[in-house]
Amino acid sequence: MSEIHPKITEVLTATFKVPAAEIIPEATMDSLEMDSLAVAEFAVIIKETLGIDADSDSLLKGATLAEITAFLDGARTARTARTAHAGHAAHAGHTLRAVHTVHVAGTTHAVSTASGVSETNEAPVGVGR
Amino acid sequence: MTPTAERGREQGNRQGNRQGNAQMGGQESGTVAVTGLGVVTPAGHDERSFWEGLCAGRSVAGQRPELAGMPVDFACAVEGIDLDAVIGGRSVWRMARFVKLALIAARQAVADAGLDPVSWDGGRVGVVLGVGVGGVSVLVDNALKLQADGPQAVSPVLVPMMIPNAAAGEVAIALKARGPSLAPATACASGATAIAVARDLLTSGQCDVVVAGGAESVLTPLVVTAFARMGALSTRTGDPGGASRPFASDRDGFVIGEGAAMLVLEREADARARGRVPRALLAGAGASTDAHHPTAPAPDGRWAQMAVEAALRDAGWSPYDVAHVNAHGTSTPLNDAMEATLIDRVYPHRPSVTAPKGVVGHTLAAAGAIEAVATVLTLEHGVIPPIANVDAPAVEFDLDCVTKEPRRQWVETAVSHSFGFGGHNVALAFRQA
Repeated sequence: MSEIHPKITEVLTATFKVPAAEIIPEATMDSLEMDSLAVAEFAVIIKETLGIDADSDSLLKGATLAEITAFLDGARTARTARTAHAGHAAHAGHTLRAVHTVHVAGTTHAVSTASGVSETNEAPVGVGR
Repeated sequence: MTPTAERGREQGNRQGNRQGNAQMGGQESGTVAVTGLGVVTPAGHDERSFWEGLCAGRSVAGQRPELAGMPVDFACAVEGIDLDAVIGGRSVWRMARFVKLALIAARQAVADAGLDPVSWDGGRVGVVLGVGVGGVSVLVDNALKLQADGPQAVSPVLVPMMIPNAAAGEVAIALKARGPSLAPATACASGATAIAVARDLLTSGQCDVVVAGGAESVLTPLVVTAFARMGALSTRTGDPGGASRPFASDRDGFVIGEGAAMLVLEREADARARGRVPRALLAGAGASTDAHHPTAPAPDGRWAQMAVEAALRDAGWSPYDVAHVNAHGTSTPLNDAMEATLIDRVYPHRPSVTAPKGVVGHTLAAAGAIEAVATVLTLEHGVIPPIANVDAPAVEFDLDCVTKEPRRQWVETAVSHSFGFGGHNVALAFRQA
């Protein structure tokens, strides 16, 4: 991973005043002096702007920015696919219970259980405001 | 704030200390010195610009885009300063605006006092920071998010951002001040209460240094409209700059403002021992409560007078010793009528009167601290800023109001009045060092 999600960079610099020079793929929330409240707020902003749930307690705290970027990209891709599926399922009168996985720190987790990051199926799609 | 009766007893103790020290040839332990000032106001972001703005005697009120469509759409806002940049560091994201204003003012005051938080004994440093409302805009924003997007949209820092004591806490963090910290809430008297409490912390020996003052920032549509709905605000929407006119016959309410002011207070002996000439002395403080009505002052000012008299007693002054009054002077019909009556009755010799709210508006919890700074500057400069928008006080008020131009006057002693919703009354007596 050589690039960082632009939203991560924007939020870290604009809201949390992290110097741009410190925002490198290997950086973690700890190394950026983001305490637990800051990480939790970061997760709220990501949810608000990208519509993606991120569990601040586990993954965001220990993951590198490269890993978080991978998650955000993956979640967005999955959501796009599910949106199309949801439209079809809704048309068919079915409840969507999509299950997908994300690759985090070299380990594959089931989304809604062991993973520190999850994308809830109930999350409104396209809530970025 | 200790009740007046208790204050009387404390006064006796202080006098005892003073006598004891005098016999030993030492400094009066009960005398508290002002050694540092910090202000962030709508009229200026530092002491110099604030004083210039105040002496210019022109209201800084203006229409606010965030208040568009509201019944009162103007206010006195702090503009032209990047609060985040001035504060620096990575912690500003968790600070509501009133906290930022307070922190900047506190840093100014500490620097002005020649103190260094890196090297001082933080365990002997207190912070008393009066706030009336707190981070209401943060609360409102999150209430809307909860309603629109559910619990996951609520910020995890809502509570620590909105609580009124957030300012005292953040200032203590920034200054490494580990003595007592408090956030007195006496509405529009909060800043003055904070200074009075600071004096107690110093004279009782609990602290060696106290950074004290007030801060407020609630220029939101909800709060401004709420004040308007209760009839407290001027409705001169066509003339915001002419709206705040304390003691004028055609005053119709206050102009809401925001800001912060902080003072560094020390025992005079300590200040002088470290080679610091005090900027002024806080000679006395007094407080009382109307116990009359949630928002209306007792019309005759009888209970407010009790606070003034307590401050004079605390200072060891007679009313005739007071050369100048920095009035609460909100520009509301009720307050100014009550206060004019009080001034006329307590000080028959007609000391000069000014009211900074004509220029900076009513900054609520910050007002008492901002006006304390103004009072200290009057003592230092020998200049009394004029009351904005007033050619002469209402004919029924027999006051020597300073109007139109700053007045040069050698002022050795001055009293600053502050009154707040809830019936809180505070008076601070300052004298030249």
